[in-house]
Amino acid sequence: MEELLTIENLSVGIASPAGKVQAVRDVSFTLHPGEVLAIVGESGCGKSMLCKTIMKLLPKSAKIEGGKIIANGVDITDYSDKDMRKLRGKLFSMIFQDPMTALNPTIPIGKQIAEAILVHEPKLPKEEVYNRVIELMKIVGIQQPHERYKLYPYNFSGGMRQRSVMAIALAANPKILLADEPTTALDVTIQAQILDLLKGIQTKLGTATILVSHDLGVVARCADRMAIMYAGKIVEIGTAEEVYHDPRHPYTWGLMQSLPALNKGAKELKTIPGMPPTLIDPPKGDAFACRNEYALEIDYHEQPPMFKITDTHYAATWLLDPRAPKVESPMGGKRNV
Amino acid sequence: MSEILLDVQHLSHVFKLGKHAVIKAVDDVSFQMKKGEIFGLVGESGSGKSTVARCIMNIYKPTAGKILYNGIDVCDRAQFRKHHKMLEADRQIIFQDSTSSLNQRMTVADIIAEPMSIHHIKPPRGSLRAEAEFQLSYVGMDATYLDKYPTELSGGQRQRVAIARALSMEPELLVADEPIASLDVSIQAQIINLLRHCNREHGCSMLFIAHDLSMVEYLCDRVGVMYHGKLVEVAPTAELYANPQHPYTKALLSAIPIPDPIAERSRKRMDFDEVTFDRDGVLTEIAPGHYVLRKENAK
Repeated sequence: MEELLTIENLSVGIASPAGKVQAVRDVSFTLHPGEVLAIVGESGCGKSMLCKTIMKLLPKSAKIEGGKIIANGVDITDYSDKDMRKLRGKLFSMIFQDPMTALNPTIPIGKQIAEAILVHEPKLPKEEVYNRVIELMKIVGIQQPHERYKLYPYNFSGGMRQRSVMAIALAANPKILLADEPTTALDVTIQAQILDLLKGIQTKLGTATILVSHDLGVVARCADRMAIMYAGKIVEIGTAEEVYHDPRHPYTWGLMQSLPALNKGAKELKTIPGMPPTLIDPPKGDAFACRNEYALEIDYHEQPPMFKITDTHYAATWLLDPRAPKVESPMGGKRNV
Repeated sequence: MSEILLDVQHLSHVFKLGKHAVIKAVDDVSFQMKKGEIFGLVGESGSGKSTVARCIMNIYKPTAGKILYNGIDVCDRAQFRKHHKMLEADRQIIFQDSTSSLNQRMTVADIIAEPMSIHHIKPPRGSLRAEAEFQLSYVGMDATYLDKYPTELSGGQRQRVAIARALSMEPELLVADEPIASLDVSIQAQIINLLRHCNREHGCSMLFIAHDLSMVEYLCDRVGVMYHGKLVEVAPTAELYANPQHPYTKALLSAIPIPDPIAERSRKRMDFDEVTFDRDGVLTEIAPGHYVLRKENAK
């Protein structure tokens, strides 16, 4: 299968007064056409930065320091802003976390969607643009699109605004959709609707999706594959079933254990002690070592490579080294469902 | 344990929008909280959960209804004035947004000690600063944070400072208005453990407002579900999650994400149609302690 997007050893640094922050460190993954890849991690672990790097929407202080981004078979790492503008929207587009700030409050919703279409096809006749907007609004589940074409963002609820943002993102039929915490600002019920919609779009239009979230429960609903990020690195990657039912990295165990759904009847929720390290001067060995109750001596000196578990499942922890002591997962090993 | 701490009777609150339009944020809500209980209030945004909390804390003046705290009507001016010292010290609130609820120009030590100096409480540990340090260590932060400003802290740390400030008064009733929304999963778990500890060790009663239903299931003894300003269902937690009666509760429960891809994908989500919502029902007891909003003569 042709890969849609390949990231190879990508590193991003951001200059700050206190020193250089290594926001993304040596990240590699691939995205197949038509799949949903979820990226999960705590805030500040670099997941949003990774998305912005792919879109090349980095702030001026940030720089790609190494690695390659290959989209659709073309290396776009060194593309200029002008070249990128042609790709954005067509090849990939992005949905942001907060639908309140992503829309212009002074322009009607329909016009904002039309704007996104006109950027890519400036010579399209008015009527066709209108029809296309109505079609997009129907795809994202906005009822009565003709009446709502002229409404402003403030007339819409949070869920409806997020749907409008999705319509704008889909305007030029992108191959890759990057959704950066699309449901964090929304309610549980609306959240479920938006996730179903994301999944629906992916099956209907065949759009590959990168879904960024900090909530493992949310991701379970629509992810085919998932990657767990910690301190700028991917520590575990695999299909959703593998990661949920047979997690191997201690950090993944920690994340799962802090979910109340897996703690039914327990006296106390398990937590991960300590705080994530600052990425200005990341520790020499495994960045998770000091919070890891299973840490080995070598964790403090050397970074673990990606160990292969199955063809699709990889994890970066020394526990998987053949020389390491056997550690039972606190999740009870392989969970059968 | 069965003593009633808080009795909310037919509480209504109306917000005026312009000259004619009004919003019924809270509409005839009644519930009771026992001493030492954690009562959860859930519902979508705009359902009036926070307004209920603010009415209880005397931040809003309710349009109609009574709120009895230990038998004192807190909305009655004369009664409030008579007991205001006790009421202000015994009830504490944690707000959702810790960026705006902590004064940016005060250090952490000052923020935590402020309630004590306002109430002229002699600090049991010598000085206000020592007291602040103790409260801070109680929420899992060390003394190095005492001289920092809220802007220097992360979201989870700020929320913990807000909790330490509320707990410094050793409140009888703690109102927590979405204290864990906007925090990371592992930090959420830390805060929940902390709140649970306060309840178990210090017997502090809690009104816990959230829209994360899985956390509510874990933490609360009883849960009330709100929709469009109405309380549609009240029940003990286990009973509510096992046997939801109101269609809105069912829809809400079916939307909780399960961290298991196979189970999650096959699950059907239920929708709740706003049109079918009947505002005129009454809370009817269908099982011991389980109340559902229903039409009076319906079965």
